[in-house]
Amino acid sequence: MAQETNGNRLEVRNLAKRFGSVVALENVSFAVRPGEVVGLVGDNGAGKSTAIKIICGFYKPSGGSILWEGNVTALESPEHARALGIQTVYQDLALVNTLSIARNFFLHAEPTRRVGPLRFLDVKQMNERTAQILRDIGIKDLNPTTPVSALSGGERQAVAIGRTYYFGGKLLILDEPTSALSVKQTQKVFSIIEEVKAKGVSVILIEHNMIHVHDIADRLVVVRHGSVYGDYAKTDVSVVDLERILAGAR
Amino acid sequence: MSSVEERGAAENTPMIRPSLMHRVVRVPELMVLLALVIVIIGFVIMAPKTFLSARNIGAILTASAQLGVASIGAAILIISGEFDISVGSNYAFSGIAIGLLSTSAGLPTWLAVIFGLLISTTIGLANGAITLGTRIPSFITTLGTWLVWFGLTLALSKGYFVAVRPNDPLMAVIGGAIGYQFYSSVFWWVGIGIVAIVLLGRTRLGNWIFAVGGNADAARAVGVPAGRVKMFAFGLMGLLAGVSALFTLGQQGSMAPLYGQNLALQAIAASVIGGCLLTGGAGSVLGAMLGAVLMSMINSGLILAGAPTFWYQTFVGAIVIIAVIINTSISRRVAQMK
Repeated sequence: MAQETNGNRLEVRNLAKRFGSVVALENVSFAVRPGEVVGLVGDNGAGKSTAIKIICGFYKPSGGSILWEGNVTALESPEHARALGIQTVYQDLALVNTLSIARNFFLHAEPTRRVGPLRFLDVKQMNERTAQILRDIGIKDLNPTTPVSALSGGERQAVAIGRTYYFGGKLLILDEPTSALSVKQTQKVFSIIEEVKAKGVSVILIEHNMIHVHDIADRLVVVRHGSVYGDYAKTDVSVVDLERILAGAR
Repeated sequence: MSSVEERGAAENTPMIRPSLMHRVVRVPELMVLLALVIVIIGFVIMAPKTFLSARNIGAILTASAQLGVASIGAAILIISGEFDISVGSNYAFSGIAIGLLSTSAGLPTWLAVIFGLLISTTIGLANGAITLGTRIPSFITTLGTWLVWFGLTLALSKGYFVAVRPNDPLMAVIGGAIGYQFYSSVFWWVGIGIVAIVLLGRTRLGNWIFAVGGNADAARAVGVPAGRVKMFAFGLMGLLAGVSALFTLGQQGSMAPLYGQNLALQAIAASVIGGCLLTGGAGSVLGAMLGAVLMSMINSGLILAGAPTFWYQTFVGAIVIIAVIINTSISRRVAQMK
């Protein structure tokens, strides 16, 4: 099969999901290109979360198809999705607060050194590589040995995003990354999103704050009643338009 | 667990270095070290001739080994986010099992020891399996199994002391006397402690133990087998309860069914004094070992100072509360500064 024939990293076509008689998703189609930030917006219960859980491999769709880098792909599990490069960053689940940044960064992917038949953590390499990655994505003021509990909410998001990028994330799914953050913290997270975007990573952003999502997204996909209501380039839709659409005035 | 090497590496990177104050309060063993200094000074003043004698230091270390080997297991289990209240019953049961296997059943001592450690490890793993399988808090699971195994210990021993073979060479190696009131168990304890410190701070499994205790969901999300990591910690706790029983058998040649009933809470106390967070995810094996030394020192010092020994419980209880207060305020302070 041809690779990336249409240039999309991910495309979903006519995605549907039923739970018994409840229709959670009726017909959702949209695409994300490399280095593109797509804002997925919609009211509570519109179907955003269901769509995301299908893309992460948690749910199998009842209908429709997923194209990953141009190929029709059946996502078997969250592990399968992760192996392909689909990485999700959750608000609270991302990091272990009591561990250092470096130990979080390499959790379950720890570099080791062989000493005879035994394998030991390569702590030096963990710290140095983490410092390097943090600089790469524009976080210059954090020490890798700092415990995550000492970080602000924005820094935690930034570290979590940096981690997924470093471990081969090609599509990052961010579920309300700024919901608990101050304006300044939000700017920090957005600057990290800009950094990974510049490196060709695709981003799907679920966000309730229309000002935020309009600020960072290249395209906005509005989901309503389980279907895509509209798919807009940022320049074609204003924040006010978005809020009207969501309120059902248009 | 951060160490000198870890911090050293970070200093080579062109990052802002954490302040000295910041680095000092992050040392989990800090509190117990301070407490040790205070207690040593106090008892040296109260019992100047006897407290620092070789005999007394040997006795303190021997008592520390028996409690301390259990507190190594307790610390690792607490770091992984779980508890084992049944350690004392496990200790008594496996000790009595080793005695009966080597005498009544006539097994060679080495085989009885292996069976005994298998039994104590299995008891630990069973605690883990019940806790993880039913999602009951381990505090409750092991409160139950504590009584179950206590009852079974009484049934097995019929309430009597059970002895191992007298003058057994293996028992002498495990916990025999080297000097007056100083037993070989101290060396085993220190050896096991070093292995545990390396395991926790320098292996992938060690990192996972901290991670599942700190945030099991986050650990699972990146692929850490959280259930298996916790099972390891439960099994290790059981194994070390058995080792503690071996130390007692080596020292005095017998085990009583009522022995060890305070062991679990003392081991947890030693871990907490040594910097373990009761909420999991943070702590230190070295701290737990020093916590055990502190508790043994208080016990011995009170005796030497002529104080009634019941003050021991009061003293240790107060120290546990102070330790938790200080640990909590330190972790809050760490959370506030960068």
